Amino acid sequence: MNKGFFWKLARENMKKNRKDYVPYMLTCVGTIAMFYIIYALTFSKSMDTLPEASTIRTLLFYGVIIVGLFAVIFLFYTNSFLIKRRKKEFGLYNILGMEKKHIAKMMFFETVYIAFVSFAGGIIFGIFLSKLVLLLLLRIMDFHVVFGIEINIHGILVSACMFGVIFLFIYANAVRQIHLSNPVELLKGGQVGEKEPKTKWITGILGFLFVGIGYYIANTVESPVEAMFKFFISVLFVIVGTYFVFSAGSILLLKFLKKNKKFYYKPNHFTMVSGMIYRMKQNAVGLANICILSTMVLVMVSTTVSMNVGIEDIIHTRYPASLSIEVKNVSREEADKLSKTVDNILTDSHLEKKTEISYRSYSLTTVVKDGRIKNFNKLGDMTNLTGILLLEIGDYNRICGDDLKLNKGQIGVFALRGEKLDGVISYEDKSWKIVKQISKVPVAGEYAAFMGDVYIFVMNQEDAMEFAAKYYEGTDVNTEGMEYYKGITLVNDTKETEKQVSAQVSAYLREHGLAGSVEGREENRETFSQFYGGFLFLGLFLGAIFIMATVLIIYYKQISEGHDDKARFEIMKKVGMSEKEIRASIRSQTLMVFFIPLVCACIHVVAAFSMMKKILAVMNLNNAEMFVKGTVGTVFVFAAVYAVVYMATAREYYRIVK
Amino acid sequence: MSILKVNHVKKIYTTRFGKQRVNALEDVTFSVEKGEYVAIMGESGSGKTTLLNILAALDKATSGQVLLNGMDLSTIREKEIAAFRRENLGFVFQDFNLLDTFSLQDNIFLPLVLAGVKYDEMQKRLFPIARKLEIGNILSKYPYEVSGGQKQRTAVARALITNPKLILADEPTGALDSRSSDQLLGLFSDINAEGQTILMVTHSTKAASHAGRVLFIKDGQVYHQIYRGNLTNEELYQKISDTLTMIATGGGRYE
Repeated sequence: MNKGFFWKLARENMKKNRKDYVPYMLTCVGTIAMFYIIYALTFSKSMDTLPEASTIRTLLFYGVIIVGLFAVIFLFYTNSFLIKRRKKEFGLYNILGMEKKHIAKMMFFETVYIAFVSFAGGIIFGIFLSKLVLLLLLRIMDFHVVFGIEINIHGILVSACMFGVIFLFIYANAVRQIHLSNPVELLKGGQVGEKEPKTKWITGILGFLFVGIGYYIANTVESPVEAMFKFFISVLFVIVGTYFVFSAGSILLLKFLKKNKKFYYKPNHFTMVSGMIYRMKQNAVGLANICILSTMVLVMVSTTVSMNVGIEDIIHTRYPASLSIEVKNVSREEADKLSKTVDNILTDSHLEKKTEISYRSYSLTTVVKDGRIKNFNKLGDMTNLTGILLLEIGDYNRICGDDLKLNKGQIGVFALRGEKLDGVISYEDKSWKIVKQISKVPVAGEYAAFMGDVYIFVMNQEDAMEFAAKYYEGTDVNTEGMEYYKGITLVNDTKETEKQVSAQVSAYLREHGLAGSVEGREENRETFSQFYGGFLFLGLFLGAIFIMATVLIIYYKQISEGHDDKARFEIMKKVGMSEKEIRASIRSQTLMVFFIPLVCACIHVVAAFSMMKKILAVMNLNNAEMFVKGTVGTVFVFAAVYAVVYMATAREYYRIVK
Repeated sequence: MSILKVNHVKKIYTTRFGKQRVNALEDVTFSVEKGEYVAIMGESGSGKTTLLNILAALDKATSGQVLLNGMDLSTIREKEIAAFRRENLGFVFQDFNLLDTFSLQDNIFLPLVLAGVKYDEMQKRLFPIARKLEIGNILSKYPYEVSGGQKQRTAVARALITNPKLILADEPTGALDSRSSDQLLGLFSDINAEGQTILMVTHSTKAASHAGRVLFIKDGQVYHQIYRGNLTNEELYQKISDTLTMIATGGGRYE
């Protein structure tokens, strides 16, 4: 038998089984496209145009790993399904005189064929899809950041290697299965009902344990700096756990339902429960996939949407004033002089101040744990990173209109971000007793961008100087002068006036040899919008792609099961099940399949909520209410899309069964 | 009293584009009395299965009338037809038609579950039937775990459990070995002796020889019929065999 023969045979086989092969290949195409898109996006050049490109790239790279993992599990699952359906055919070939090695050879050609077609399809579809989604989003949202995805040769190569290996393993697994069984078993293959799965306690417990660990990690992360990495770890735990919980937990649940005779022997439940147990193993993986993809979509879209809805909040957190002037290492006299100069500039330009705030401070980057401050410069440890803004009592009373008095060794504390501190705060041999919990200090917005907890300490002048001097001992930081901040909110605030004023102030600073900067809110607004717009774009882009993948999976799953169920429903019709009852049974079965993963996805999102909030805090969104609203909104929109897919699929399923 | 009356039933199939017409049933008329055991014989393509489908309300006659217990099948509304089938008819098929997803017990329960019968009631009904059919000890198994004979007996149990007015059997021995066939035919005779009306479609002379009356269908018409009278199974077998030979060689009608 020559090669041409095998080619022909392989092609004919696939033509004959196109009912099974077309959805399988579509799944392969979808998975490959998804992997390629996220990979190409991660390493695309236009990514460089975004600020914080490296952070986003890291996040996306985690995405690449997850999608890759997902691809392996998913393709194995769909393929095992296919092999099962074709065992009868292989048995026939075997009986008709084909040796197993011939069958293996034939399957090799089939696999090569599928691999090539779906790879080519996947890449083309990937490029096309990314362009399409891109254009769509640009049209809808009017983005300033044009985010082109160029054809990424590197991405194509990596995808080729990755999926080449996956297909090879899939092939090896199929050959193994064929080799292990004899022709008669093969002939029966398609008909042998999957044995009712055993109740897998260990897997079930492990699953819940993993999900629990994932949730625990997600909810105990203290600083946002850790969050990124730990988020990834917890995602991995939750993914593996979800697969376990679905495969063992679903069986547990169904068996429990089956044991409940009153529930089980009802027309709808009867066919649904037994049908689901019958194919539970496949259902479990499919449902877990849907659950994980849904979670990804929800997390990505809700965070990015919240950031964009909350952009005004974010800008105001970051730039509390129209103009923010910051100068390092100045004495009180120098500060006063600068302040007067700025006021003069404003008067000369006929600009009216709405509000004004100014103070001098020390800012320290530290590590705070259990009320003890450690020196970050000596520790070099990023966990529990804490920023401290140290104010003198005089400045505090002035800007807050308070009348606080602090003796030596006393301190007032405000937690801008982080847990409330109580009792005594210490640094090396020094300690201060907290005598006042401050509820609000209108300080500079730059701190909002700090990647960690932020506290404001208020001390008397002597203590403050001592503490700062001690903290920076042995470094080149000069603690004789303090940092000076002056924030002005203007009545008529425009980009131009801000530019004009900041140019003059900058000139003054240069003239007097002061190290400092001037920031304007309106000046920075555009950069900010672009930055967050870019994020929103990424979120929606990946969200759209993942939704498409989810739809494809659900569709594939239902259709292939529809073909399986066709015979079953025919029998039930003969035994006396009406069209109406069949419809109702299909509806309840499809409903279960669809909404269990959605509910689990929502639980995952709730568990991830506090971590997402921490990451968002780094991005300057502190408005928790806004984030809750954004998330709930996203869930509703997603559920609506999901419901539409559900209805379309149920109809198609019914059409097949009928 | 006739439990089933078939009056001049005609069935014409048209191909999808309406070009060709096939007369599956020409003009079929017969009736079945309560407690009868009737076998319908005929070669492949003679219209047996079409007839059975019409009797089962799975298909509709082109013209003519089918009365089950005095009720015209064509007047039953589409919505009620499933319930009607469930309540009045029991089916036994050549390929068993058991569901792999159910244990044997649940397969037997299926029509009752669809009818909304309580679990206790189902249990009560199952017990005597399972004992009679000798499947009491395999009820918790699945169809793919048991033999063909056991599957067919399960199917019979499923047909009996609703206390149907009529049992329709379509080549019930077609997929069974001779021992299982004998056992099943013995069962049918027993059930019939207890008063159950049975209508069986078959082309096995052996199977037909257990019936009380045999109808022969050829080219869509009832061609001939034989009553058992006082004949033993063996004698009836011989008579059926002669008739089949005669039909095959194209002899005239005789009575």
